[in-house]
Amino acid sequence: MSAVLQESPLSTDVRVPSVTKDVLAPMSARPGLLWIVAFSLAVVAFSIGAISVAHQLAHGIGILGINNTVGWGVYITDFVFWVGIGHAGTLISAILFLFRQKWRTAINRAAEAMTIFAVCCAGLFPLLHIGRNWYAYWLIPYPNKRNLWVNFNSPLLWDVFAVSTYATTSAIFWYVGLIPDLATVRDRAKGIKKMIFAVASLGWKGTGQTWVHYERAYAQFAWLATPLVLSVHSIVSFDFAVSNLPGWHTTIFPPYFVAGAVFSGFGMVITLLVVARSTMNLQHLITVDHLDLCNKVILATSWIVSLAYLTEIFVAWYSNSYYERFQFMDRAFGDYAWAFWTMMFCNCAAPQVFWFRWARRNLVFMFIISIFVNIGMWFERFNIFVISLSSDFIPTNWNYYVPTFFDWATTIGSFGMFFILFLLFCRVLPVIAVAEIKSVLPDPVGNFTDKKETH
Amino acid sequence: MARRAKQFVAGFTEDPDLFLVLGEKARSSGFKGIDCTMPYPVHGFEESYGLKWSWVGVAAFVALLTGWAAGFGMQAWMMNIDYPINIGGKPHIAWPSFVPVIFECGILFAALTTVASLIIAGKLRPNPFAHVVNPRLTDDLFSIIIPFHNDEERLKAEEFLKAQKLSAVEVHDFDLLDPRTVKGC
Repeated sequence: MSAVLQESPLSTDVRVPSVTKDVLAPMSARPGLLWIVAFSLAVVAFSIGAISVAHQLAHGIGILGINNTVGWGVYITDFVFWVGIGHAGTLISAILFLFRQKWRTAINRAAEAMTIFAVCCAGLFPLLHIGRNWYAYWLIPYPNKRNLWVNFNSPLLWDVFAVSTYATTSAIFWYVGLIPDLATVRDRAKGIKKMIFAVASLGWKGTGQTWVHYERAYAQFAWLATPLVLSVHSIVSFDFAVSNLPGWHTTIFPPYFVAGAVFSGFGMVITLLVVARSTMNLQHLITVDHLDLCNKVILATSWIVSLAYLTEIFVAWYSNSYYERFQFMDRAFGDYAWAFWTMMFCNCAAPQVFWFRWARRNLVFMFIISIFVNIGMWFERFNIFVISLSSDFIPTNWNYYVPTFFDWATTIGSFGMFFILFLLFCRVLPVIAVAEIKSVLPDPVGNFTDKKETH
Repeated sequence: MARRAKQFVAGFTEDPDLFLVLGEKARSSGFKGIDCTMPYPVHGFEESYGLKWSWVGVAAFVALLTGWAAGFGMQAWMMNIDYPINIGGKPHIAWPSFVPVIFECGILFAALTTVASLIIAGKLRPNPFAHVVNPRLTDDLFSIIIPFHNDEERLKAEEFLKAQKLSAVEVHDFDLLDPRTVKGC
């Protein structure tokens, strides 16, 4: 047996034509009961959010729980949460590509789709959070009759550039990756569907010279997306780190936010793929070995995040800064201790079971842990933003923050939107990068079964 | 330079290993300007078929530098020339705080240029009538493409391809390989 055969998580029994058939099958099959139930629930959740947003547009952000002291509440937590979810896709498609991690091909398409939908959800929150939403275009530097420009010294504006560049680049990257697969769908479709996919695949014929340009462009995107993905969450963390508030004003924020984003993103990848692979009959392409590798990434990033928490606490003590020390005592034992310990349990303790091989390979177990990771990472952002704001330098300003129904309704609505988009994606596009996974099959046409050793 | 061939002889195979050695073999047998079609990329096909280097990366790099320059220029012009505002006595061109936006502009320019270059270089067009001769060409079937100008060259190419373990050998128009073509649908 060659080394290639042993290393790949894919079975040597998987052949090229069966990959095409299996990945494209859900696109023409009738949706299953689980899909219909999930989609209906997502539509209900989205409707709740839409009604909440409509109410907010009519009445203003006074309907939210934010107060004079805690100006950034659930909305900004949701924003950073969704941007974080959006980091795993680009990590898998770009960084693992540059490191020649071939196992990425089974999960990169779905993870990139997840990235784009999460960034869509993320982008909504700052726009909803500004008081006069109809002036959202003021965020863009455009020539106007007041001759005013946006303030380029502000991290909030850097965020506008970072998130919009990220959304654009990851959407293009995803589309470029789709082109050969869209052509595969085109050549198996009839009538209007064939024409739609012919337009979408840009007339792809798969000639060698086109593949040369294509592979160069794909690698180019990986090189661009890698520093981009690291910069985006760094810049998101600057929103906080550049300000002067205890608990925010730390240099550890950029790497700590990036690691947290990867951690939460892989959590969401597991949540989605554990369900998608079994309902779409793709267990032989998205194998337990793939999920095992994702779980190892979760374990590693859990430790990076835990180390960041411990470093923050240590520095709060070691710096001898009165306010910094108070802030961390307040987080652990103050009014919001419940949120702090939820975060600690979900992000630091729960993923430790992934040290055990059986836990990394048990579907039910990893699904539960991935939910814990999602909850824990939401609370991490809640802890950072709300607790630091609720108790600042002057005790007369201190205030407890209670989110209202509308905070939660919009949050639920964003989950609804995310799942609507993801469930539609599962029905209309190939969920696995067909052309890419074919090129990493250990035995694509059955040569190894006939010939003993070719390498 | 020889005039462009209008037609080619294509040899088809499902075997990526055979496909990979075929390019080298054809070139050493004296066939010029060969190409291929692949349903999925096989490592090393560029070298085997002697395909041309892609300029897409260079275009992206130029765009990256242009984006950086444009990002700095935009901020310096807006904050220093068009409407200088005194913010706590700080310098108008506070360049360290311009870095994140400069960086993002570079990435945005490079990403847009990469996809535009790919579309131009690959002659990709949103063509509703685009198709391939055999649907298996986007599933599991590879082909080697040998262009010919006259019957003599055609016979030579057919003879060469028929000597290999290919599943079929056919003659086609080059138009068929152009993403912009609507012929024969």
